[in-house]
Amino acid sequence: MWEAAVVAFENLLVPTRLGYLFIGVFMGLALGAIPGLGGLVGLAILLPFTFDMDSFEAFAIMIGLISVTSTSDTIPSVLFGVPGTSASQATILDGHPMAKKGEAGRAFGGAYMASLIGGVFGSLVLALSIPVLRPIVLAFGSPEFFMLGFLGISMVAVLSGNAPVKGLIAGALGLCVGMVGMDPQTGVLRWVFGQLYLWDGVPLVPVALGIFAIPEIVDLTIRGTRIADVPKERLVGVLSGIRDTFRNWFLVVRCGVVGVFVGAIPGLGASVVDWFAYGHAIQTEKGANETFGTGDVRGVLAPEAANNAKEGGALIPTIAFGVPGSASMALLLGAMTIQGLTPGSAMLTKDLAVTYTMIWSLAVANIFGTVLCMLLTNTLAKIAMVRINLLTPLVVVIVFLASFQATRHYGDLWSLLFFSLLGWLMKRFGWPRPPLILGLVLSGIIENYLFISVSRYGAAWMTRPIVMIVAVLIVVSLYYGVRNARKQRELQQQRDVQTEQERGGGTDEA
Amino acid sequence: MKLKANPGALFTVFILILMVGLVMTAKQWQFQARLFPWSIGIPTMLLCFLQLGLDLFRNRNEDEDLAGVMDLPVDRSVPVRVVIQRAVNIFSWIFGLYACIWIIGFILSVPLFLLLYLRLQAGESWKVAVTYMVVMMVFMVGVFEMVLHIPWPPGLIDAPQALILGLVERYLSSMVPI
Repeated sequence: MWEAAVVAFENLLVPTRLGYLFIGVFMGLALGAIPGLGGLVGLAILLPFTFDMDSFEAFAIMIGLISVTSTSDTIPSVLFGVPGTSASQATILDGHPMAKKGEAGRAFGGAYMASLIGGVFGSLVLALSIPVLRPIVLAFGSPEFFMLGFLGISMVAVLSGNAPVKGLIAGALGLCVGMVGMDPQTGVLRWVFGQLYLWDGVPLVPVALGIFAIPEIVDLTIRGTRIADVPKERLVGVLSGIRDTFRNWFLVVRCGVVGVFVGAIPGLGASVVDWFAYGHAIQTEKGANETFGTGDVRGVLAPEAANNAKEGGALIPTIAFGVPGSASMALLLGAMTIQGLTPGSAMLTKDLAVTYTMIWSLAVANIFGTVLCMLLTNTLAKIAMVRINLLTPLVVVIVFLASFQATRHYGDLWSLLFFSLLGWLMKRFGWPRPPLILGLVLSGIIENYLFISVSRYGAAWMTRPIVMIVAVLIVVSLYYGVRNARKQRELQQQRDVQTEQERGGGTDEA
Repeated sequence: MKLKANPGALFTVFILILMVGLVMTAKQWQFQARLFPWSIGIPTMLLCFLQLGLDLFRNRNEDEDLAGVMDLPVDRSVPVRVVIQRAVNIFSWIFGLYACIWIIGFILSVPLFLLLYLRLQAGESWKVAVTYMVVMMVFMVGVFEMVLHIPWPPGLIDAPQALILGLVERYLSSMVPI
């Protein structure tokens, strides 16, 4: 196994692969710094350009991109109080007050170093988990993988919003989109509507770009103008922030652990990981109740360590079980399929070198990302403030060109337009979009597992112990998902009633 | 329980109709081919009815389902009327770009779209618009033509695109050392 790790490192050191990794990192930093865009949009755009690359290059550029969006998203959070991505919302609470006090440099120093430690820690946990997971994964057969696929979709469906029913329907819709085309078992053409283009199924790229990239750019355009002006003053105190990180090393490591765990659970991820870490820091750090929220550097270190560590955690179920825990992991899984790789046991045996290259890419990307952020914070802050009017046509054109790369057929553009409208409407009406992508990516895989399970074991596949355990887990996750959504709505109602009462009181007094 | 007017319900109805259509179409397939579509489609139809009920009868405040936790948040600060106007506007540009590609091909549509968008929609100066257009053209030819060798699809009126591609090809071949 160590041999595979060494070989993978040598593979990554090939100049072209390091070059791709560097390009991915640079793109990730730019996307992370622009509020409203993020790694997911970048990954969707990048996906078609990886078709002609080898696996090592493809994963170097893709992992390079997704690993560092959580590093540069600190810039708008600290400077403007606007999260660069959903993973840096908690950073604002202390980062922005620090900037107001003239300590932005210190906040950045701390955040970058914590991000680096978190990211490298995440990749270390991923590397160490492989020997532990290998015997477990090898004991699994098609029925178990089939059930795990369903577990992943159901968890993401119920946890990815406060509307579990919508999440489940979105997941099912994704599964249906994945069934379009020629059924590999019977040769029946399913839902092709006489279109030759659909015989091979709906390609992932236009769907992903339509569902995520276009709705985001449409919403940014609707919102309009830039968020704030670029600060004029130079950043100072970066070194003191780095020292803060080492002074609070135990907090950083603990939040790294939180990040890995949250990342590894399908359905949680970016938007909650920073809050989990921030909450943990408030509960465990001395004097946190008094100082957090007023510009305490520990309130920056905690979420930043966790949001970079989560990628390592998220890759564990994706690689080992083929269960992506988020939409970006689903796209990565899609890239694995396009590269001819099968998640699961093969990734831990014959394709182990690719797996270790992904781990090394994660670690090296975090180092690159931190160094670049330290050098280019002022430049990245300017990218964050790019005028939407200039960004919109550029993104639209790149999305069209990227989408056309899927099969180089006009149908790709039709798919893009259809899913753009669908994605935007889903977003506006509160339908979670990640389950749709997960369903699409997993559809073919789990139908195949179902087919093998039924043909090999008949109905007896349902009585296998692990299958039954996973079935119980699905029911439990659905139950808790529905219960949590209900609780969230009750809380919302209480808040609304409270607000109305306060308004009423104000009117009476007036 | 009171029936609430809710535009979100219309979207649920659209998804419901889609699911009913998918399930009905699958009826004519042999059992093995329709097993998975029906196992997913029929329960989803029931879930759509449940969601429709929630859309129509649930307290309106409860339905502020911000896609939330895993998804990117929606900015609710812009009034709905403005949202619709601006969305129609930007989607018109997007569909317009597609129509243009279909008629005259990629190579001419992309710079034309950039120029028109930046001048008419964004109100940028000629200098910015033309510079942007030229940079994008160089990027397109450099990355997509020279590196990726994309076979650009012909438009309905193909002559202008064919002429430009021919010129680029002649220029590139003249640069190859003999």
